[in-house]
Amino acid sequence: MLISTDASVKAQHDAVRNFVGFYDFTHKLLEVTGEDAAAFLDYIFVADIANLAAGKARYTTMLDEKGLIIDDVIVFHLADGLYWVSTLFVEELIRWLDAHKKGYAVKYKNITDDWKMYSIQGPKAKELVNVVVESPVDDLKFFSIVDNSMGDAPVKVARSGYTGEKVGYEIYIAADNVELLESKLASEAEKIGGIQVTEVDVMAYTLATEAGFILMTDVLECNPFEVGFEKTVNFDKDFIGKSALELICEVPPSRTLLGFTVEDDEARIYGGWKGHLVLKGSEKVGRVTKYTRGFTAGKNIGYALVETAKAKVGDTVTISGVPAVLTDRNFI
Amino acid sequence: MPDTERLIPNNTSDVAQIDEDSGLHLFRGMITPWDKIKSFKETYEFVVRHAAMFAVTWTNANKVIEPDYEKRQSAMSDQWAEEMDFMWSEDDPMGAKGMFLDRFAIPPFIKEGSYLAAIYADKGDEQTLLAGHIWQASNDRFEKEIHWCPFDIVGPEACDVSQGGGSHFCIGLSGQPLNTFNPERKGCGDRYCHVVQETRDKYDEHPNADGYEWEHWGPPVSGMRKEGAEPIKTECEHLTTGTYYSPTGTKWTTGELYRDFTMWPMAYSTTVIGGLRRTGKFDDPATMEIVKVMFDTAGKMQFAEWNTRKSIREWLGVPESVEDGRVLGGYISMIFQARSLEWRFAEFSEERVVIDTDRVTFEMFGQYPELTPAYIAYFDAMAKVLVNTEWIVRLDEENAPEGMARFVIEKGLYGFRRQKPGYTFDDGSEVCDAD
Repeated sequence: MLISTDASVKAQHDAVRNFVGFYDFTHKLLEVTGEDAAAFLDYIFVADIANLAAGKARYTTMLDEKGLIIDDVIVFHLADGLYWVSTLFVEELIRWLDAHKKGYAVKYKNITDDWKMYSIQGPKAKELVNVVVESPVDDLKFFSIVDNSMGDAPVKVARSGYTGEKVGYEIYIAADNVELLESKLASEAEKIGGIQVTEVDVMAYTLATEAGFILMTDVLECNPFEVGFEKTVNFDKDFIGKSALELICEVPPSRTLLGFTVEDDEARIYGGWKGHLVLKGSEKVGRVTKYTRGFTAGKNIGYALVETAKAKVGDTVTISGVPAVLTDRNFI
Repeated sequence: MPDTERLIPNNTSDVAQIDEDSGLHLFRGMITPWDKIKSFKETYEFVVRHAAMFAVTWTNANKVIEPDYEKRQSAMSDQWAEEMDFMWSEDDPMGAKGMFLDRFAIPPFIKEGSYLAAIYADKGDEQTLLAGHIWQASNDRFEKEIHWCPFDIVGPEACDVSQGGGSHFCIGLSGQPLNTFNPERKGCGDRYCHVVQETRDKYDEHPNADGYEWEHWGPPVSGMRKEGAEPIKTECEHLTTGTYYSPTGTKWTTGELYRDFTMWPMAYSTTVIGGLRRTGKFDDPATMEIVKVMFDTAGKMQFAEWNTRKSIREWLGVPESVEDGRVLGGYISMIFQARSLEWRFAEFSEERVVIDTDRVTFEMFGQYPELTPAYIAYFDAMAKVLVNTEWIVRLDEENAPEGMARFVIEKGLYGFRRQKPGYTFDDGSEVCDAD
């Protein structure tokens, strides 16, 4: 069955875009502490972490020595010497940190089981969060995180999300208290036309793809320049993969992660590591990494990693026998 | 760390390392006693097909032992379903769930659903060299298409076991009742093989849900389409690229997939054995006799034709002068290498070949001792055609080193000759029974 015809997926997607949707979006969480925590994370990730103010967060990637992306994370600076790293690959991250710890005075531990995170996204997200937590979040800036509470339960509220919504929050609560949060969200969301999102397709694909957000499977064995992340890289500091990346960025990237649209709503296309071939004429120019329904955009959309010399935005290509148009990665 | 700048172009399966001392490329695979090297890719294809051949023979034996299809299929499928229920239960008794959630980087927010089945099944298929792709992996629906299956010769009975067992994996992980379909089992000759799983919460119970769980096939409640312009895949991409990435972006090298396959290579043989045990068939000595006869046939058929015999000798690099048990010993050593068994030649001469292998691993963590007599029958039969009928293969329990299975290839009498009671041979013996 095509996602485009799935009424449940559409309803949940539309709820987020038009009202508010909330859902358990717990990722894996690594706590990093120590006097060298900032410097260590600055070395591990490509973005500027050392100068990240307390209460702020930053999206960044982690590269291997060849300059290839091996993880994308959000780093939260909670307090002096205290950081959280939100990732989906915490075990691999720990192994990587172990291998590159050198002499840094830093400790880290997997705290995934200790915390749950609910994402609240959509035009009425602020309204919903404000009735759930004690202190209003009206002034909370994008990619900021603050302490708050829900009754007696302490929470952390971050202004962030994976939907492309201008208004979106992520509430972190101790795992033991998550049912309180879920029931409160459920009862209050209903009053303002919000719903609980349960479809993985909505949480991870339809909303995020419309907004240009990537999954790791979109950027496997890519460097930041191939996927439009050049501005996230801070070359004014040392980081793992820097020397390789400096060589790489001397020439334009040979591949680019673009979007594509398909007019045929019934087109069957698959993505992933071995996704559908993208053809221009009869020539292979790339592969599909992701394909889903852009319910707000009103058409089926996806991403493709294409050879820069052979394909560009605006080109008409063929995927799975149907015409597609290469686009930028933001569809809304 | 391998110097990737010096990788061999189009090298298959991440074998390209450079020896620091010699500067030569290093390869993995099998090697024959006459120094013929087989590539890693060929080794992988060899071991998977060997497992399939073995499964065919067990499956066919099963058809004789239990001619009733429903009883036969139920025994296998129910047994495997039970094992999956146990393995993937809430208590996680074998740690399988925990390992799965970690190794596949399953996000905590995906607690249940067909998405999990898709992720697990895709990796399992790739490690078994089933080439295909996932069409959909959502909460409530999973659809996978397979183009190439080395186990297609086993037939739909294996597929039915697999789907029934697979759905119990999902139930264990997700707790959701499912409609599970294998709408076309490729053993029936259809080129595209689709597996579809739908949760009943969303799609309701299928109209065909009555009946055996393992016989759910055609069409899913949500419908299915087969048209697409992509070409048929004839092999898994990781055999060329050296890497497999799961739908969550976790990575396996093709070497790791190989290792995972050889940890439990004889699936679909073991499902048959499990079914036979479940119905107490092994209490009847005739059961094992039927198995041995089947494997005797299989072994003889494998190399009886002169061309086949000639080509396997060429494949092994056997010198023309070698026309003895070493030919079979060489072939058996390839099987043992491909299965990643600990093994060695205790003797390798014109008169005798003795091969030892770790018995526990050989019998799948010691859980399937029934495999050994099947292998003996198989190898013994091969000896007759690969060498000649003067040769036998036997298991030497008495002289085997501790923990090892010792296979002896030597000259010996073969066959059962019964004479009229009271008749004596010249040597005074009555009945010659070399079986």
